[in-house]
Amino acid sequence: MRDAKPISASVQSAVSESLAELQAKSGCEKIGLTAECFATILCDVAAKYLPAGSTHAEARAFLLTLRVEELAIARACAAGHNAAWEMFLTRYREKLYQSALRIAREDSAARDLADTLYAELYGTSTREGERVSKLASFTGRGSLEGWLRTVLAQEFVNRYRRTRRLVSLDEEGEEGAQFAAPEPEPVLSPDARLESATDAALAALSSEERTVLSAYFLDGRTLAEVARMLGVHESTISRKVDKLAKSLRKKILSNMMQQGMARRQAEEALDVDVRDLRVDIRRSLAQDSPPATFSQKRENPAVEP
Amino acid sequence: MENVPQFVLKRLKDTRPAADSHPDADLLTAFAEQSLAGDERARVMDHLALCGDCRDVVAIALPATEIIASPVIASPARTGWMTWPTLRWGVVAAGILAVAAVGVLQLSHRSPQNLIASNRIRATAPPATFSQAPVPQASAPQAPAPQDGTRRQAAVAHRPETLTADKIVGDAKTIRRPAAVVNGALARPGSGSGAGIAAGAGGGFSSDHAARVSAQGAPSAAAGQPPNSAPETRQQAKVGAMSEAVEVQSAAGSVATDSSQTQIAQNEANLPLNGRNVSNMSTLDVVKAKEPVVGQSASSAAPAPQLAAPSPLQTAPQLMLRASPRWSISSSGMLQRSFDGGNTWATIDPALNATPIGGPIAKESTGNADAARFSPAEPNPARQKKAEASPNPSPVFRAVAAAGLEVWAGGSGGSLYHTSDGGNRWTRVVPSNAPTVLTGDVILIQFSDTQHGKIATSTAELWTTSDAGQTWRKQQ
Repeated sequence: MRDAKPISASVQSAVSESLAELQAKSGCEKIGLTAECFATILCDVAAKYLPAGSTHAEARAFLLTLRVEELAIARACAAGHNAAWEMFLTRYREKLYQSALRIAREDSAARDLADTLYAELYGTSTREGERVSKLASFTGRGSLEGWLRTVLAQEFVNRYRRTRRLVSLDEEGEEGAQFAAPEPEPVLSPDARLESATDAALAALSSEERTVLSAYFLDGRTLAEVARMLGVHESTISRKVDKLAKSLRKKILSNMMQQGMARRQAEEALDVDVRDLRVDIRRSLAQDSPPATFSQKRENPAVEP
Repeated sequence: MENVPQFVLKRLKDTRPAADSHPDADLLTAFAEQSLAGDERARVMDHLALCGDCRDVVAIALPATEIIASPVIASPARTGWMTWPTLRWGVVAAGILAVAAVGVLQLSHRSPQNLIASNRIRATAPPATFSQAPVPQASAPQAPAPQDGTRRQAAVAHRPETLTADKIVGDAKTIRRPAAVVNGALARPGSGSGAGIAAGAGGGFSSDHAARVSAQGAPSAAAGQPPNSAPETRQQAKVGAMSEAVEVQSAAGSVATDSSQTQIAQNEANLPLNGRNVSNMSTLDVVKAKEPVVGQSASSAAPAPQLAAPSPLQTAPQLMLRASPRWSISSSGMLQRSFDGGNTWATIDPALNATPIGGPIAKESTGNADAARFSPAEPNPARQKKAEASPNPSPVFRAVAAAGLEVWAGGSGGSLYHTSDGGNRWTRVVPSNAPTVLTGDVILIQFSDTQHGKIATSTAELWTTSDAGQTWRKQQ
């Protein structure tokens, strides 16, 4: 059982008010979840996401955004109800494996990924005698199918980061320069004015702008992908990226010039010395990423983000 | 598209979020499905702005484009628009420009606005290039959707797939490929269908293809093919071409050239995976999903070197090439191939006719998706059963690795087969390094590119090759 969170009065009242409606919508009784159980679940979910001091109306509105049907299935599975598990298998097993294949792009890796998650969903580990299923952490904020994909993706990213770190010595000989250590070239430190100008310009970006730039330039996503991530049209992203790139450049240059650099000088500092920067970037790329970022989710699905 | 200076990117990359601030899977999912609003969405966005891992997760977890097109709770209808494959529009653009050149003169005195006008136009259209044909069929669905300068509702009739791409022109804006590449790309498929587009002359899509294209309301360069639906396509094509041309040209200014997308050419079948190709894939996916014959010969893109399991994501940012067709091994050890993204599978038996130098086409038997991809309930599926009776005993396959048309498949008794044409002609390969020969069953095949590969066997042998399988070395 998860640690009980303090459940505010407004949440509780909202749950009671909405219970009948949500219960019917979810069909929880048919798959083995009693009304009380379901009510508890709803309270937990609401308490998890709603900020303290939410009003009754806000809580109720929140509850209505939940995908209660899928929430019921997931939690019923986690509680070990067979009917629910049958339903889950029928609806989601195939998608799980298909998504894994799409994500991993290669049969054996995909199978591995899917099998691992499948086991976690089923609940093969026990804690205090009870089977622990990852489905217990599903809260119905997103679709179950989407959640499955996200969890797969998290697992995949985890493995990839770990693998990338471990892959080194053996592969070096075979694959040639692919994993070679960066050459020890002397790195010219960038102009301090360039640094401060760049930092200032980046700091002025909104989160969305920064996300778009990072996804497109750093992660290498396509415009279409970035657009889908953010729920906008591809052409919107295309325009945005172009505009941002131009304005960044302009801002940084003008900042540098304000700091006393001549225009030509500023342009050179900004655009040039790819060689040195390349070394830098390679070095950054070769650095370890922070360790398995999602591992805590796997061990402790109930833990708050 | 303007590039961002390297230094700026470096700085962009340097910031990391607090380690415990990663949104949970539910929040990320809700974010991606546009179910978050206001504060919550902003908070997740703040995190994504700094965290590459979470961005990756969101991107990787994006559904396949056809799924987006089907109704999902809380996702805006316009998501269907973005899925319109840009590659198709590259094709169309080429057609448009070709037709426009002819059409401009003839249509210049007509209103280029309304598709409904197509009736009128058809009446006066020069029969030389296009044949007269009854318009109502296709114009009916078109009529209700007057061009609004940016979009056109597409008739969905021909499209069983959920890709009801509506925003054709919207994506015309994202066309960036020169006609030549596209021509080349589509020129490959067999003459039967989906032939290439000639920029100037009348290269044409097959009637089938044209019909499909027209169903979308897309103008298409048409050859003088007689089939019923095709002609009206062209009629609209002309009208459409006018305005399309205008739009395309006006959009040209805002076309963002994404150079990586030019590499795509044709890859087919497999549905969107990560990589820059995602949106482009879909067009040909859809087209070729219906025309396996075409698909088979069509994909001639460079094989995708992304087979190595250890670093699949590593290739994600740069490569977009994907295996096409898709391969899998059934639970009974049969090698299976799908041209339509996994909807239907055919069993392929390389052993049947494979020769050391490659032989005639391997016999294909269409079966049901034989527990198509993997069987989750059996981690070690029974592989002892032989697939089918055949002159040569077929091996029980255990491993397959594919990239584009290059496929390696191996299994019991050290059997290893290779094909370079997507599975028509197979060669039996026997890894050996005199005097040692590969023993045991092949259980794992990994190729990082066409030249370099590894094979692992059930007897714990590891064989590698650096020359696409001509010579092998056993690792000790």
